[in-house]
Amino acid sequence: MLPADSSISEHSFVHNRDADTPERNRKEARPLFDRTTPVTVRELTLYIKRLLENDTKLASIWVRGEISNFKWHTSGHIYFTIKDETAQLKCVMFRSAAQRLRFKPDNGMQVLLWGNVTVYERDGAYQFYAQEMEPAGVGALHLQYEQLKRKLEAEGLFDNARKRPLPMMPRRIGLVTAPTGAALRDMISISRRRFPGVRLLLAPALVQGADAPASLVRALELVAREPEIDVVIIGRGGGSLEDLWAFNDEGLARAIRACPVPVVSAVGHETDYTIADFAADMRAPTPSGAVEMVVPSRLDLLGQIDSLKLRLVAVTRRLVERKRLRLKAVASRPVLQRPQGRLMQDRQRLDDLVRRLGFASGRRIERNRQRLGGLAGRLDALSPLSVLSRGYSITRGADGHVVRDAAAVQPGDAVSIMLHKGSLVARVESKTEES
Amino acid sequence: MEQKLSFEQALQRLEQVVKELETGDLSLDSALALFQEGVALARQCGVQLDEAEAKIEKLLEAGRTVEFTTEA
Repeated sequence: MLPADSSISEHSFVHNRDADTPERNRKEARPLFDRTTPVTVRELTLYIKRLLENDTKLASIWVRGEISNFKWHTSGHIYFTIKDETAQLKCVMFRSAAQRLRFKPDNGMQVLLWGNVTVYERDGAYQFYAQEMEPAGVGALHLQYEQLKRKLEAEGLFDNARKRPLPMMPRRIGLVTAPTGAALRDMISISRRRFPGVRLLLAPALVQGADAPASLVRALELVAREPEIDVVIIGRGGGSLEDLWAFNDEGLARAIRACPVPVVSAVGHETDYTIADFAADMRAPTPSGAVEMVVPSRLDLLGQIDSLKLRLVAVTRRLVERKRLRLKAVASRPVLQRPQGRLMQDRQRLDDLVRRLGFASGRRIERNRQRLGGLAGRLDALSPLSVLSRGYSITRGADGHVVRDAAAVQPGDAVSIMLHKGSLVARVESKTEES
Repeated sequence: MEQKLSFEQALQRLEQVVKELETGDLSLDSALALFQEGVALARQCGVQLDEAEAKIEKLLEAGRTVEFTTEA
């Protein structure tokens, strides 16, 4: 019944009868086993709570275990249990700490927690208050990542001034990625759709595992040396954090920076940035996104040319018209009735050109406009960013999920709002639900 | 000379031509010359868009390339 650990027993009730002194709190000193003056449940609970909270080891401790009963409450707090083969521990992570999480915890995940142990009086249960949580095993890698990032940042490797603009119409595009898999297939099909005459050169590389960084560096160096390569996309499809680790390599970051043409990184992960992302001239969230940035849309370019042509014809017409009116004014003077031959010739030449151009481009413009109307709308609709640029925004709850229904949030909840440029953290004042 | 312009340069020059016509008070001769240059540039851009020949290749060791077909 008594705690065996001597460091704890000195706090326990039982031996306090002798040590009872006036300065001690009377309630605390009262003997536990005295049946005539029993303590209340609350008193006992508070005593236990104080015991746990006064223990210096329990006030700041790392613990490792597997998550179960994971629940992300609408308040933003997280409730879960961590366990191993024989024991379990109830855990709470409050919203302020949960908001800082850099990954999404879930049942079955091995995690490392830092925090303190205390007692939840209402349930008479001791609990672990987690202040920090990280995936177990990734902890060391993560540290390595942070250190490398800081080092390269300090060297200026990530400076915006070093980022090069992408070419408007690359003659040939290098792709450094795995030769099989959905990422490459998507890149090829989207490239072809945007620009049917696209020229791609694949430099196959390993994209995960211990040999991947060296393989990526070599492929990047080889492809950049090829003739007419104007830009390179380096990336892979989505995967777990461990899968993406090859892109957190120092040598790769330096190779990207040293590449003679702009490099777009496309490591299939929307939220986590790799070192390669920081080093690249441009970062795309996915390989498909990179292609959208790099491969020009033929329809957009045609539209641009056609609208310039229309302006060219219109402005020249106006200009000539102005001259003609001036001429008319001047020519109406009797003195100058005669010599206008040269100008008439010029007018005829222009009229002829305008007619030919107007005829040729008019038909084509009409054709392209129809295609543009349909296709451009669809392409546009595919890009979430273009939706944002039109003034829409994406609201996420504290748990990171997109809020589509007012019922998913409560007044007082923090939400984050992603805008076309930047994002906001806001609190819900009130809401109107729609049934 | 004109043939040497890249698509990007040709498009930029075309924009410049239109702007010059829109803002400048030009003689009829220079206006017509610009107009003709603009028409030629627009045609050149269009041709470049249509002429580009799709090519998807794979790089082998030692700088050799082969036609790439999506591997299953």
